[in-house]
Amino acid sequence: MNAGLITLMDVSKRFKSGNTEVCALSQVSITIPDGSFSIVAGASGSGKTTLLNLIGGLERPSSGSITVGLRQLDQISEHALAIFRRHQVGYVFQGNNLISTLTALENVEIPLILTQVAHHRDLAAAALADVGLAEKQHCFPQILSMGEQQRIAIARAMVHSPAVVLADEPTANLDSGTGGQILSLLQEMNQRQGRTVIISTHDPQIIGKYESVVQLADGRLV
Amino acid sequence: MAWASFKIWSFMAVRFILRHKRKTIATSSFIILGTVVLVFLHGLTVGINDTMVLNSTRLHYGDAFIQFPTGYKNPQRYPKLIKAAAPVHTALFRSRFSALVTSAQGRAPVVIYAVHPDAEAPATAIAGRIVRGNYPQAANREVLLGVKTAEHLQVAVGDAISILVSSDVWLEPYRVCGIFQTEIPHFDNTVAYIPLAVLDPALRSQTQSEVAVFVKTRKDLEHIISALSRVLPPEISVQAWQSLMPDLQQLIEMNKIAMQIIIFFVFVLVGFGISNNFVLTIVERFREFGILKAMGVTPRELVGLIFLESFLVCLAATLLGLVLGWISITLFAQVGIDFSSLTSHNRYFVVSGLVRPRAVAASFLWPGILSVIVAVISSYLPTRLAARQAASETLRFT
Repeated sequence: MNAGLITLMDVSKRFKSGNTEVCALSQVSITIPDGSFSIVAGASGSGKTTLLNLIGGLERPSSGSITVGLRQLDQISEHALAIFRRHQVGYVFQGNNLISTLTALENVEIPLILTQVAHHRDLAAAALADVGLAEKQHCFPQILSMGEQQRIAIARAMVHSPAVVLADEPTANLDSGTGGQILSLLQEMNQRQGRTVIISTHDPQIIGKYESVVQLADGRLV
Repeated sequence: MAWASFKIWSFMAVRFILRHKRKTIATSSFIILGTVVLVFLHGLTVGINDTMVLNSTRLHYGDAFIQFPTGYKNPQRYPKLIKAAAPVHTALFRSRFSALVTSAQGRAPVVIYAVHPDAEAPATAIAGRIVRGNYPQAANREVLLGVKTAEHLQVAVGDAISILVSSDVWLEPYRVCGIFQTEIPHFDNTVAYIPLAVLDPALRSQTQSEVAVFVKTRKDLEHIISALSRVLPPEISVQAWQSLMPDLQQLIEMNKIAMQIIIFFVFVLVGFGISNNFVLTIVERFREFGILKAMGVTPRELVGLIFLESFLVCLAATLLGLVLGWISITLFAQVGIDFSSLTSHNRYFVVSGLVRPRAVAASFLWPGILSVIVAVISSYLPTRLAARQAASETLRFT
């Protein structure tokens, strides 16, 4: 099974904003190979987050079809979509990523608890060690730096071995040095674990480094 | 599988409860306070009713009352039989007759009770309501008058009065040994007590006999009455205080309903507080729920998680509230709440205005059930809102 193979066919997404309808994505068709490291690039408001949300099953397309592995996301129920996210998707959001009332370790534990993995505490601790935060496992997010929070989010996104890891502007609130570390970490995880990683960014320096780039402008593929 | 899921969600719920300490404490405080108030109010109602019953039964009639027809043969033997048949504290034998008491200054119709002073004085509250003089001595021709009767006859302690039983039967003069005041017009105006031992033997066949029964525990009254009915002849019936004093019974029912209305309003107010707290707590956590949804928590699981959290918080807070409610009732039951200044002219508090709250099963049952129900219902609306919103929308909350 090509678990990480992602195909979008003529996908559009429209939102209602008061009485007007806003088209966030229009007729987007792309294919992302299994195990690839892809960049979704574009200016603010170009539809990057919407595209990631559609691939991750957080939103449903207004038209078109989305297939991840063997699942056609636009055809499955809300419940099935949640189960798909639980097992197949890891998310790294743009800042404010973690549950503030849980420690770093507890945040990373959640996907393992949801997927009913045994020894979840040990596995979560190992995942934190992988991102260099073994010492900080009992710290609460608010006392950690933004870079450390993003590394915890990466550990949480990867810990349950999902098919796809989606990172929405993971370097947006970070200085260039820390942002570079985060990207290297995601790339390392992609190479080591073979997960499909998709990152959205508007940073030209990052875009310039990668070959597999999906460029968006005003909700359309460029 | 279901048990495994329940374990997971319980684990998550407990973790979130413990980690949202301030919110948990704020919500719990409302529930604890509400439960304590509800338990205490219920206990106070029971205590007020207890006091009214105790005051009314201890004054004269007792918890149960047995009346024999005029001229009934040898009714004096029944107190002993009654005490042997049931857990009865005291059974007081009395002979009653109507008479006209006269003094040099006036005359007044009264109901005279011929009693055993040694048994009667400690068992009833009349001795405690004597304002002048003493209770009659068993061997003396003495009479205890109500304050209004004494005023009407213009007699004081030590004066002599005559008793006219019927148009041609005059008793030997009696000396006024004491005057009592109950604030109950019926007693103060028309009741007098004399020792049974000095009652003219010729008159005994013309009096009506009765036995006032004082039980050890009032909650056993129904069983005691059944037991007494078995030792008494079929033509003699035992009346409980409820049928002797239907006005008191009605007042107690009215008191219960009034307190239920008060409890309902307290409950509604507390419910609003709990509900408001839940809404704020859940709305504040929308982003957290969004993250959970993004990680694959289904809407149903999210509803279950929030309900479980609410339920566990409510259960713990309600149990704590019940314990604190019980403690408050126990403490106030020991010291009592003195309503004497408000009840000095109230016939139902004639013996004492000291109310001791008392907890019964219903004092804990209803507040407990209602607190949990209101808290779970209160969490329904915000839970639904959190579950219905798309994960991507919920994530926009900061």
